[in-house]
Amino acid sequence: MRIDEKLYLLRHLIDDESHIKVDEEACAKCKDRFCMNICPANVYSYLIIDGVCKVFVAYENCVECGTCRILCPFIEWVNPKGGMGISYRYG
Amino acid sequence: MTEKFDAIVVGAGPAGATAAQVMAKNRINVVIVERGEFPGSKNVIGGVLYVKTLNDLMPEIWREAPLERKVVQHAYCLMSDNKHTMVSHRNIAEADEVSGYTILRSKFDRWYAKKAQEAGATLITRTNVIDLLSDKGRITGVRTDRGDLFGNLVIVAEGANTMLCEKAGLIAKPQPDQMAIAVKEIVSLPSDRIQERFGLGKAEGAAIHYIGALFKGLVGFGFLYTNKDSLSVGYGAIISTMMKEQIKPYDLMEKFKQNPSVEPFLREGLLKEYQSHMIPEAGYAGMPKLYSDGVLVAGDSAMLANPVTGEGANLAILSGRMAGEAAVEAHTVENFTSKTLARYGEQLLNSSAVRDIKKQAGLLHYIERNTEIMSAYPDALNAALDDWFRVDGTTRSGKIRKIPSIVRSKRRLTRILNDAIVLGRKFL
Repeated sequence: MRIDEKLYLLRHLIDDESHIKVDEEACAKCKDRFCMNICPANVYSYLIIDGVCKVFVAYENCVECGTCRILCPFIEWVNPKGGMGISYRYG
Repeated sequence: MTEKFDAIVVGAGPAGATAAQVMAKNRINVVIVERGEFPGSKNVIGGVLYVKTLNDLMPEIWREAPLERKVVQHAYCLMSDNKHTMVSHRNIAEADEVSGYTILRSKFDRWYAKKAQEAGATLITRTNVIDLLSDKGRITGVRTDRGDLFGNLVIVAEGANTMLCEKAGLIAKPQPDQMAIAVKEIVSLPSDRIQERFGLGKAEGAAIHYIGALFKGLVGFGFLYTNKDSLSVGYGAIISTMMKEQIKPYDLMEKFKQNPSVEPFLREGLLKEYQSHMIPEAGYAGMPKLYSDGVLVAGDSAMLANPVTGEGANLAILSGRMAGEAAVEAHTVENFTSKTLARYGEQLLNSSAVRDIKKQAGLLHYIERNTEIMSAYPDALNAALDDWFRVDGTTRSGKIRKIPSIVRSKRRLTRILNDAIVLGRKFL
C-alpha cells in the first residue's frame, strides 16, 4: 500500500488555520530538506514556482509526531487547536 | 472561561490521568485539560503496558481494564539480510499483576481517564494549553485556547512534544539525537488466525523485538505485538541517524515489513491505521527539571522511556502517581514551592525504573557513534548458527573453532573488547 493510501485511512478534524509556520526565506535556501525527507505524513513538499523554490505545507495531513520541530529550527510547530487534528481510532 | 481549581493537569494520558486520580481521591479539586477529541485520541504506544504500577495504584483493576492480550511470549529477533535468529521466552503461567499486556491507546486511555473522573476529577477535552501562567516565577495556571485556568499547582503531562516545559524553562528543546521517530501500523487479523500463527492460547499474546541493521548507519529497532484481533507492527529510529541517512520512516517500515522474519506474520492482514509518534530517548541526561514553584512534570514530558526494555506507559503511571502524591502533600501543608515539591524529584530519581535509565545513560550515544554494532553482532550470530546447521563435510569442532574468526570479520577485536566494557557497565 502506498503512503498516500495509508494516510487516507486516518481521521483528521481539520482547522482552517495551519498550526505549522515555516521561515520561507530559510526554506528557499535550504539544501537539506530534512522536513520533506523525514516527515512520516508527507506534510512538506518543495515546489518551484516562477523559478523560486517554495516549501508547501499540507498541515491537514499532520499526524502530530512533532519530528519536524526537532529536526529544523526554521519550523514553528505548535499543537493544533483543541479538538482539531489527528484523532486515532486505535492508537 | 476563567476558573480556579486546586490543581490543573495538562494531558489526559496515563501520567496525567494517574496524577488526577490520586489527587481527586484525596479530595483535591483537580481539572484535567486534554487537547484531543477524547483521552487517547492523540496517543500511540508500541504495544505493551506492564501493569505492576497500575496494580500498585489500584489492586486488581487490571482485570477490568481494556487490555488486549497477556504477553506470554517475549522474543528478540536478530535480523540480517536473509537470515535471522529468534531468542524466544515463554511463560504460560496464570495472568498476574506483574505481566505485560498489549493495549491500544484510544481504548485504554479513554477507560483510564474515566477512573480519574469517577474519583472526582473534572475532565475538559478539545482544549489546548498554549502556555503556563506565572507570577513572580511561580506557575499559577494555564492559558488555553478557551480561556485561562488558575490553580495552586500545575502538573505538566503534555507528552513527548514538550513545548510547555520548554517555554517554562524546565527543559531545553530536545535535539535530534535525543528523540526517536517511530511509525506503527495496526494490521487486522482474525483472533483465531493470530493464535494459530503465533502458537498462542486465547487471550495470550506475543511481543517480538527486532534488532539488526535494516539500513547501514541507522540506529533503529522494530517490534511486533499481538492484540486481540490485530497486530501492532512498527519501526523506530533515532532522528539524527535518519537525517544522516535521509530515509523516510514509512520506507523503513515497508522494508521492515518485507523482511522474512516479519512478513509471514503479517500475511493476509488488513491495514487499519497508520500512526507515527516520537519516543523520548534522551535518557537520564535529557530529563527536565522535574519540579519548580507551582509545577511538576511527569510521563513522556519527563523523558521517562526505557529503550532497552520498551517501558514507557508504566513509567508514566509511576511518575503520575508520585506527582499526585507530592501534590496531595503540598495541599496538606499549603505550600507549593519547589522546596515542598522536591520530594517528587527525589522519589522519582530513586525509583528502580529511573535508576535503570540512569545506569544506561550514554548507551544510545555510544551505539550512534558505533553504528556497526547494529549489524555486526546479529550478522556474526546468524553466520555462526548458519554454519552450525550446515552439513558440509567439515567437523563440528572445526565449526566451533571458526566462530572467533566469524565475529572478528564483522568487527575488529579491539572494538569488541571496548563494546564489552562499555555495554557491560550499562547493565551490570
